[in-house]
Amino acid sequence: MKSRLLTTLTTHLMTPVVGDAAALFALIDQNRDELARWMPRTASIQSVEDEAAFLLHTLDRIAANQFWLAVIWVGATPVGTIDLHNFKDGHAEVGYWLGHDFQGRGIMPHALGIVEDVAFNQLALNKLELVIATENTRSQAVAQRRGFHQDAVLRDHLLTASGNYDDAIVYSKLQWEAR
Amino acid sequence: MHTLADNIQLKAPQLTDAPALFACIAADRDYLVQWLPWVATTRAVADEAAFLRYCQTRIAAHQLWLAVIWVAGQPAGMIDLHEFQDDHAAVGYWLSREHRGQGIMTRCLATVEVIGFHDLGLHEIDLLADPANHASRAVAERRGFQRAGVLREHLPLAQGGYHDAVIYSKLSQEFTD
Repeated sequence: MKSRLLTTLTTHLMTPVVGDAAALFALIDQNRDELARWMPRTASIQSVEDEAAFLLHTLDRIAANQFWLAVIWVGATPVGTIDLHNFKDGHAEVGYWLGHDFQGRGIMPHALGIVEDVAFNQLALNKLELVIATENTRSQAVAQRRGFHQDAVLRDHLLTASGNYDDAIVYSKLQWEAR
Repeated sequence: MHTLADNIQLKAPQLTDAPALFACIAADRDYLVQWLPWVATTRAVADEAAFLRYCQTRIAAHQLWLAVIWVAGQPAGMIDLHEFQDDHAAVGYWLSREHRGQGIMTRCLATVEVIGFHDLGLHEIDLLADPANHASRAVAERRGFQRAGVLREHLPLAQGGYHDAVIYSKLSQEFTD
């Protein structure tokens, strides 16, 4: 798959629709083990209907201004999602995942750059945070590439699917640091 | 109700606590507002009563744990656990001027650790404090919370803008009565 992906395909972000459920479920199912390590909700997505229910819930929360989510597309293929959650006091947390075949191509740093623009310029946030497991070096590379600053290390902060806890690095980027 | 000492109790919030809590806030407004921006919008007993009613609905929805701190038979402050996620929560607190500096909040925090780790099954408790809020930080440090870093521009100010927050954490296995 990776070798056949044309580098000229454009990456874009689109608002989610329930009709994305089948493609996103297929992608989650293909990448289940890797995603579940960092994203416990993966275990609750066992069918297209589960993903459709998640997207419906997502749309409700977006309408209530509690959440923001975009599907990341490369050409005509959905390859992952990126979201903003835990809105409070002028800041929010970013979450993201990408199918394995699409990692390491600069897609997520590009998507994160777009989300920074949305957050700071459209949603008028003062700060974005990223909370990443200390062992998730790939995700940390995205934060570092986008110039996020390491603020803190929180011990045992993330509950894993196996019922253990991961230490987490908290990164931040301030509105005035974005370009 | 939790009795910490002869004259210190933690009690569930009641709307009838509003006048005494408002009096504490009004008497210490300039100090408290530095760390608690909601102090600026708490202008009348009715504002405090509305806040208590909001707290009660959040408590009923299991989104919040909160107690009014009673000292010598009067409401004198609050302590709470909020932002429950992944078996952790953040603790917040304030105490009236006349009762600060006597170790009361340190005792209250110890009791809230029992409630958080034992009763609510938390694994971690976070505590955020303004770097300049030495009284609050002293409580955290006296209770053995470990400094985890500084969250930049994290705390909103009443007059606009943000202050950094020192973030501390304590794990259930670090807790001893």
